[in-house]
Amino acid sequence: MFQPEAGKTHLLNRMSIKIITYLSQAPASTDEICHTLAVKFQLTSDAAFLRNIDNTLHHFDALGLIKKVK
Amino acid sequence: MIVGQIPLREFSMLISNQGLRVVIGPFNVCIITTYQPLIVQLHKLYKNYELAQDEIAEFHVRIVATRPIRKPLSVYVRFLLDGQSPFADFPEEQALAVLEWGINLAIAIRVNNLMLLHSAVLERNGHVLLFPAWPGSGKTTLSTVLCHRGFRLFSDEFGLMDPQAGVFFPIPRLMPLKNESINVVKNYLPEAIFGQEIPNTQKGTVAHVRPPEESMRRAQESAKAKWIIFPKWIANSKLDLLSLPDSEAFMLLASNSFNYEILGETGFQAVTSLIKTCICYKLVYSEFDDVLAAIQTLTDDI
Repeated sequence: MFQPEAGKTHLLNRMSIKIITYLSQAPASTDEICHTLAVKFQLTSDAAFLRNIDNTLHHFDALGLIKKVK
Repeated sequence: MIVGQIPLREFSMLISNQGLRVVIGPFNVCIITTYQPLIVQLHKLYKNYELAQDEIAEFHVRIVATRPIRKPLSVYVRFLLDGQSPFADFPEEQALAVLEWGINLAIAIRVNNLMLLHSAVLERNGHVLLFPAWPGSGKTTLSTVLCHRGFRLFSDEFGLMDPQAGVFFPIPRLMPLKNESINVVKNYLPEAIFGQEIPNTQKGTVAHVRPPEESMRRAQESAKAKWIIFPKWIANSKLDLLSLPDSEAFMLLASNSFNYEILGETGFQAVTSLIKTCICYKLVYSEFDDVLAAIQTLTDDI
């Protein structure tokens, strides 16, 4: 994925692509994102999964790929 | 008119005074030097270069002889690009290597209208094969062998691609073989035309191979890429040609570009389009016969 504002290229796995495309449609909470991903990738949405997704979202936020809204 | 049609004496006058203007791929390069040993080598190795008809040259380069203050009895050579010296002086016997590196440097730092990949590029049956790799992976050795066995040389060093049209431009230049590969190639390709061996360079001993005549004659014929092969020479290894996932090929190719980041989104689109339209492989090899057979088979199948 190319990020025009930063001029950077990011190599994303399928789950990361799903997060970005999901959030490009409308803002969503971490719980909503986890639920969507769990269904899509047939995973259990437990505490560890939630933590991993939360970390990924923070990482994307730091890179400027997504932005936190209230 | 090509360099080989000019007698050495006239060639010497030309390159010493107004400069030798030759067509090097999509560029005109003006070379000036009065250093006689280099002139003799260039007359032989640049034999098939076409003289530029256009007065405009993209690059003006010079090799001048100097005597360092600390070594007044030694002759050194200095490379100048538009009158500026981008690197230190070198012993005189390295003049040809310095000129060739200097022209490479000029292309690498100045050309941003084209996507510049660090890649050997050859053509067969109308389609280009890219061999992207960093120095030391055997690109030049592989290019030298392939271009003497039916493949057309575009470059052993640069993939010059129009990012919008997706076509590659040939830029056939002398191929600087290094160290052990010099004798290996001399034995394998007795017909190859070599320059003098230049010992003690930054890269060890270097000997330049003249590109085959046909590659030079057809240097204005561009083509699109069909195969991207990331090569690696490993001593005594069996040949292995493995498919490479697009995502891995993308990152490898982008990281092998000189100006991917400078081009921004244009570079991203160019690499994306290249990956989408090419078949990507990883190649490990040790024997020329094996690699030739494998790449011939691959390029037969179109």
